Amino acid sequence: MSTVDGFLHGLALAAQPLNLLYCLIGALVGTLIGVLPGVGPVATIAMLLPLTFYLEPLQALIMLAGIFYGAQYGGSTTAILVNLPGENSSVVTCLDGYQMARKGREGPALAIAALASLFAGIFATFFIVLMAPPLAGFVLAFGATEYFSLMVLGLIAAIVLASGSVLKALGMITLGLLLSMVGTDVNSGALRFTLGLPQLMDGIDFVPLAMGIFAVSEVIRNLESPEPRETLKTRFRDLWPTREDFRRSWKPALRGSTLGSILGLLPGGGAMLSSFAAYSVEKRLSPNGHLFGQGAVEGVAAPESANNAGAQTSFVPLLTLGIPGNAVIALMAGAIMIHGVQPGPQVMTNNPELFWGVIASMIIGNFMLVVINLPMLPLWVRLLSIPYRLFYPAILVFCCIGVYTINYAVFDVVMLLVFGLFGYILYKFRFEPAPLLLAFVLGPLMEENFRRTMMLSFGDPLIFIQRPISATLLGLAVILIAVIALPSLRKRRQETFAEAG
Amino acid sequence: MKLTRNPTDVLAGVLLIGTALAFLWIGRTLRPDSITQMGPGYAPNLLCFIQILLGLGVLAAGFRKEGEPAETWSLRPVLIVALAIAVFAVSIEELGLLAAVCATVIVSGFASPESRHGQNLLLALFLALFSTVVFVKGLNLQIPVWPAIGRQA
Repeated sequence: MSTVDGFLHGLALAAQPLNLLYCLIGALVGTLIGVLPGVGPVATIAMLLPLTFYLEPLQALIMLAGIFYGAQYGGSTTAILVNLPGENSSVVTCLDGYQMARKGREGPALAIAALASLFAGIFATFFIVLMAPPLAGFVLAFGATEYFSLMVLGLIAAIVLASGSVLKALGMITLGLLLSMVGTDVNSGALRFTLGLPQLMDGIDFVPLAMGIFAVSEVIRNLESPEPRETLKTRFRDLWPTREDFRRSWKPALRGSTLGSILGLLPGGGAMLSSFAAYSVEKRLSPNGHLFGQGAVEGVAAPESANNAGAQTSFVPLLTLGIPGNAVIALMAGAIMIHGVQPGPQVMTNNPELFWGVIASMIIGNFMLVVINLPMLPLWVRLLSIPYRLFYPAILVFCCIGVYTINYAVFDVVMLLVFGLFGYILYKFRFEPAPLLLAFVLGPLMEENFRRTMMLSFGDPLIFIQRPISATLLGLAVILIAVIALPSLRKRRQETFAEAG
Repeated sequence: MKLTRNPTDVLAGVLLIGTALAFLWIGRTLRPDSITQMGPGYAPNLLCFIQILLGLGVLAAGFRKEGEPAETWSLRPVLIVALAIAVFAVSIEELGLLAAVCATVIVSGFASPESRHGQNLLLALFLALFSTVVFVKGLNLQIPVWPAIGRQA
């Protein structure tokens, strides 16, 4: 199937009434959680995972994708109106967006944010259409050796681009890999780390692990600190930006979309990194750079377009290489694996309708989001006044029900509890849990490919550097580690995160 | 001078080393075999050793480098949230969905000092009805709704 045919076929699929419905649900839920501080896409998607078992894989993925990029729209609303980023990826939008709001220009700021996101959404979709097939074709020829090295590179890149201590992140990877080995060893049939529990024979279930570490521990963390109280304006004067706003915004939006699309492809990239990078790049490039931080419209357009583009293109590594680049995408990987679809280059050939359907749904979803966000703005703003104390019991209840219904097993609820507490401990020790989840998803594949490679090479680990592609991939991983270990660059990395955060 | 400069990192290192040792100990009977014919214990043991090294690195950094003071732990939300989930686990099969949801919501209400218990009672009833309608009636999940005693066989 050619790229154009594939995309058109996907568009036809995505436009089917039921798929449109799930796209709309995803967009609505995404906006909702984007607006609500303390409820993020990772926790929400973890919470909704059990529900997706009852959907077709395409419907499930369309909905989950909608939540992810929908949250980018919603997150900017609170960032602009109350200086409170609904999502991490809208942290930088606060800087200029809130300043615009203080000058009474919240309407144009919101409109520019939404339109820049829409532009980026369309841009990123075409970017994916162009990029994905060659990538998948390239990887299709990979053997076990190359695949193992690719996964190593993916994991390393994911931690290098994230903030925080590299040693600790590496520790999270080994721990995630170890957790993935619990259960019956496929090769020998031996039971590993089951502690004599029959419920662990099939391994640790992905859903209670993800939900516990991300949703439950997030609830505990939010409860530790008192709720922020903000006064809200719910009346908007003119929403429509001026011609001047448009003239100043289109270039930043274009640059933001490009940068976001590229950074989204990288493991560990995605929405947050994209928005930070776009903001700092724009600050240097823009002729109005000196106005940044005082309500420059460019400072809204650039990060908002970048985070949306980054959110969308972060699907590419999953669907073409089989490597999830961030926690949200790892959850998606879990969702489609439950349906028996192995993420990777074969998705495009074996399940073209899944691949193209999701990509095409992104265009539709982005249009829906503009409609959802702009005219319905007062409604979303009103939601902000609902206090967190009414949300968190609901989150806990839905987590419990969701986990219970996977196997109708009380044991899974106990696992949810265990991983909830574990996630909280990780947070207290300042570990980033995302690498653990990525490693947990990739673990079985990595072990299998490692074992196969060692069998082929008669136990010679040098094979990883004798094969050119594998050597290149591992070389890149080493370079990344070296780069991060260099003091000067480490300082720079910290500054980039500090500047934006 | 304090003994540890960065207590968080010291504890983090201990956590990494501790979990790796636990995995090694639990998996002590798994045969690693040889690298060409890897047994079930090969990869886990390898990972445990790597993790111990990483843990030592984190530990060393914690003693050497100045860091932020240790996080304060607030026990109340931790314990109450854990209790709320435990209540659900204990009650779902015996008492059914309605009772389990109500109990979970009411218990979890104690986690936040800002909760008002009257509101929480209403929230509990609403969520119990909502989840019954959505999950049992709507999605047709086989969750028991009523207590086991009154249930038809």
